[in-house]
Amino acid sequence: MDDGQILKLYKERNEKALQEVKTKYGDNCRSIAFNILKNRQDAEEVFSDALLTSWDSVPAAEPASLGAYLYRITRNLALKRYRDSRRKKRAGDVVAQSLSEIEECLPSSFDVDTELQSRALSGIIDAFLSGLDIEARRVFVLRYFAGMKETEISKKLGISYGRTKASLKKSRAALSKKLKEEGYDYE
Amino acid sequence: MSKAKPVYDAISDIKDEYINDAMQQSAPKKNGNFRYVLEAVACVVIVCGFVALSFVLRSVSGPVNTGVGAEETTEQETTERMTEQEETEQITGTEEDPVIVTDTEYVTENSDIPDNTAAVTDDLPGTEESDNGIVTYKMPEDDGPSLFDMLDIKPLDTLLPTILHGRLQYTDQTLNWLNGEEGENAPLFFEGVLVFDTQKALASMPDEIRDKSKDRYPEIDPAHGYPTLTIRVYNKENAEKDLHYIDLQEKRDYDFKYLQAGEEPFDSYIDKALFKPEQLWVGAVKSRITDKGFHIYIECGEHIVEYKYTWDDRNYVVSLEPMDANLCIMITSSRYISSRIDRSKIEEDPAPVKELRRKVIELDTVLDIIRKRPYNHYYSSIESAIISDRDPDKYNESLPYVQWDYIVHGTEELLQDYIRSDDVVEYVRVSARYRAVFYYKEMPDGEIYCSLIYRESTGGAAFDELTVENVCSNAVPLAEFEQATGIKFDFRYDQAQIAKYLDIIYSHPETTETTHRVGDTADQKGNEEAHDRLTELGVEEVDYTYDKYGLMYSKLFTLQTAFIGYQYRSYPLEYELYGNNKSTLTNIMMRGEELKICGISSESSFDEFEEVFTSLGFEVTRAGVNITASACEGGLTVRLVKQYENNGETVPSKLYFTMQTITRGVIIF
Repeated sequence: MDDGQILKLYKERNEKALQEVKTKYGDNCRSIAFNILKNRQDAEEVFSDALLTSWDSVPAAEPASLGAYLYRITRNLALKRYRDSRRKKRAGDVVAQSLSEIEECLPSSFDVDTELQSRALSGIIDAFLSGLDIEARRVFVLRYFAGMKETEISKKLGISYGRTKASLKKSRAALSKKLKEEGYDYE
Repeated sequence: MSKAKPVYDAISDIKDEYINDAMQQSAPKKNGNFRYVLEAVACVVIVCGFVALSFVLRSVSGPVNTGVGAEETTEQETTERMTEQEETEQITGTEEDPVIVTDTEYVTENSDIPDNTAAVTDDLPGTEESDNGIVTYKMPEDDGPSLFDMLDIKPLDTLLPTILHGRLQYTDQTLNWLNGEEGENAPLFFEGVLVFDTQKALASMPDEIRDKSKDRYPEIDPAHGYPTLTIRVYNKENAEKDLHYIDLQEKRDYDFKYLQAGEEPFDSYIDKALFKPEQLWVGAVKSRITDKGFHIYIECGEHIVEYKYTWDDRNYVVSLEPMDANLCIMITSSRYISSRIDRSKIEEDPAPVKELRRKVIELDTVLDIIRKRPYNHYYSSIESAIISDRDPDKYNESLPYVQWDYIVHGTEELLQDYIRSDDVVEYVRVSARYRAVFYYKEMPDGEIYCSLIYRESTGGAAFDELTVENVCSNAVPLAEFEQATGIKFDFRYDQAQIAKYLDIIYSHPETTETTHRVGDTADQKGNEEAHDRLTELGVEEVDYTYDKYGLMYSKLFTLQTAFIGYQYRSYPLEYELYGNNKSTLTNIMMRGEELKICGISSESSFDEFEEVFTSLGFEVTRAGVNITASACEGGLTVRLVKQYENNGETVPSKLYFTMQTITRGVIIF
């Protein structure tokens, strides 16, 4: 079933929509949640929450891409849960690591607590991603959006582990440069 | 979270197309991805070239700086680390999805170092722990080489054999006497059967030691060229008169023949067929008795090794020795104890015997705790307590009992409180599988409580600090314990369970409170019940022919359990072998890379062992043709051809073994 038909089910408040979403996007959503939470039960709950969120919101906000919409919801919910329960040290390893990597490419004085900066960031990152080649962009998204391990990324994309790492390193350097160019360098 | 949080959050809002594009990717088939293949080939070529270059450089100038910075990591190194990490995750699982480790997995992961090593080695002068956790003994240079040095045996390398075979030989007391010390630190007794492979022993013995021994005791005459097994019982007050040689071969039914001092040792209980003179040669054993103790001099070819003992404060020292073998056989202490019980005395007053049996069971359980220690320090101390503390006036001197005062280093606290009661049964369970010691408490309603006393990988309570209070108070219902630890018990071979039910048999012939647990074993029904229970627990071929007082021996000697430890270098990889057969499996001999099992009385037993060893990867050949109940004309020879990979290096395995009879009330599982 294509996204249009699923969205139609949403609008009709037909619960079959959720079944279709589960079938079509469930694996990826669970994977994103699990990559962040490292807990299958939590990931499953997050996915359920994502479905519920989509159920509550879709009629009002029709997403351009249902898949990306669900992935994004799942990721945000997972991150929220992660932050709520990050006392579990094991759970946060990958997230913490990827955060650390992102942090590497930020200027030391970087502070984006301001709302203005936060809002601007998404656009900057979009622009940054658009400048990457397709493979590098995929690697970046899988790493920092989906929270996948480098080994998983290399497997998923069919490239070597070293290539994956090198791509990420290069991308982070490019992101750092981009952030500086956009004024996130007060030094 | 961090200053990266906003960026990380902002990534959530990247364009849908980027998300969809990435998420929809799937790994291409390798065969269809030429670039991938080419890349892999290129990597291999590069790595091989690197290795080859590195090898050439090393061969020319030793280790070289490859140019990789100290803080930098190559992709290869990183990959290796990742692989290790992933392997670890595979072994341990996650918090949510724990993996129950199996023997091999556990040992693989945790084989490096028992966490309590330091605590133990603190007690032992001269022991050192290397960075990788290997404990070695190092004598001060001025004090000369230790027995370890002489025999080239490292404690951890031969953990179980050392414990079971070496006994006092490997204690610090023994090392003290090697240094010429006497008095309180000198060993109290010498118990066990040592069979030196003299060729190996001599080969590994430094020249200066041999020469030194020879010079010091030139008066000792070389003597008998056959392996000798003797049990000597010494009494300070009348040592010469009471010097007994006990011939186990002629009186193997434990009715010993006592000889007067000065008589030549008898031929060995060990079947000569096991030894070839050129392989094994044992010289005379002579003794010199003084007020302080006694000395035993052992001929090893042209050389003499001295063993020296001082009297304990009860003026009794029991020595059980033949000297022979680098790796050796032993007769279990319980058999030894049992064999020395005067049955006429038992009939007169069975109560002490029952008590003895109970304590033997419990003590052996505790001994097994100690065997799991990286060093047998405690073991021999307790063992000495068993043997040395006897009351000849009361029980014809051949009946030993346990003198708790001799037990050292906190073990007495443990022992004293393993007293079975009618309401609560407490016992210790030693798990070779988990390399751990557990405390159990079985309540009248059947619920079992459990706590971890000690575990090599994680430590646990320090042995010295063990008290009943802290052990018992930590006990939780078994289900909780299993859930919390991830440890799943298999009671099929639960030694404590078996020991407990053997205790029922041991407790025979009188009907005791204990026997009521499964029935009165004084009658046939009770026997059958016990039999069934034992069978259920994994003990096969339980022969419960009832005989009023001989029951526990004639019967229990039919149950044999062999534990085969498989050790690769210092990393103990254990496999378990259970062999139950009706004959007396008394001889498991190791010769070089062959393990020979004798005393198997039936084809089925052969089959059983053959199957197990074959499953362990060994070549098995049947060396013997005549299978007799009495011993060693037949035999199963296991050739240790199993190789082990270690960092790409193929090395031969090292097999060690121990053997115990269930008469001790202990099964290592």
